Amino acid sequence: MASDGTQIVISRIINAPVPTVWKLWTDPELVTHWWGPEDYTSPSATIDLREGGSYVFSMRAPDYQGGAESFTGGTYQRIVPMERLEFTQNITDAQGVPLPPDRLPENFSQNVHTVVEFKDVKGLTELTITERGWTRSLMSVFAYAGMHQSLDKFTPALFQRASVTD
Amino acid sequence: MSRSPTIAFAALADPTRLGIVDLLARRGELPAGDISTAFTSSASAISQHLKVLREAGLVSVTRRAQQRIYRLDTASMAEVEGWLSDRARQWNGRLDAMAAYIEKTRQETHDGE
Repeated sequence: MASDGTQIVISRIINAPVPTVWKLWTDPELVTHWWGPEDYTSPSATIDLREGGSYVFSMRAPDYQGGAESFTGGTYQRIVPMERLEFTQNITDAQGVPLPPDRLPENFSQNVHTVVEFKDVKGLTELTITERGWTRSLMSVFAYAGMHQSLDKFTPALFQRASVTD
Repeated sequence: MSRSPTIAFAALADPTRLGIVDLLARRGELPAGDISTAFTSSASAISQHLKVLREAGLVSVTRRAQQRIYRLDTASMAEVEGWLSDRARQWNGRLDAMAAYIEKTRQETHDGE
């Protein structure tokens, strides 16, 4: 993970040419082979690959975590074949309708603007995923040099918490 | 602590509040009066901002003598930061799965030849 202070950026060289990686992102059957990270699986995916079209990808937790199925969905905002995909990410129901705030799992934001870039590097693919939107202000806080050192100094043990209300 | 990071993000969307958090990150802890003098906003406006930050769990306050001393709430900040790294970890997990799938299909193609 890298960050310029306003976004999350994940970059990776994928051991396959751009057309293969593009297909892995845009063919729903292929998406189900990788959308579930680690012990998760992805039982289903639907894709309407056009600008303004939408997608819904499902993800099922492993049995030891309860096996619950959740859905990520959004709208394609920009499509440049073999180069770039821009879309929003929401936590949705099975039909792709964004969940209202009171039904969101703790810690989730909606409408995360996401850019996926595909770049040919000597026959392989440099894939870059950039998430923007909800992290802007927060990431800029953490971007300040010395932040972590500051935090380390202020362990709760060093600080006598008093009950102040108002 | 343990308020939703979504609330923290909302609290930090304001440039003055972000500035207060930055100031506390650099200075450690500060009395409310010192925070107030670092900004052009009125003392009561700063007081409101501090209240929002407190309710979001981003800062905590103690009373010392006649002063209110503010500092970052490290537990909440660590929790929010942890969420960001979880997010990155999830993407990395997917890309691992993608790489594994590519290797698997490559293997099957070779086996079929």
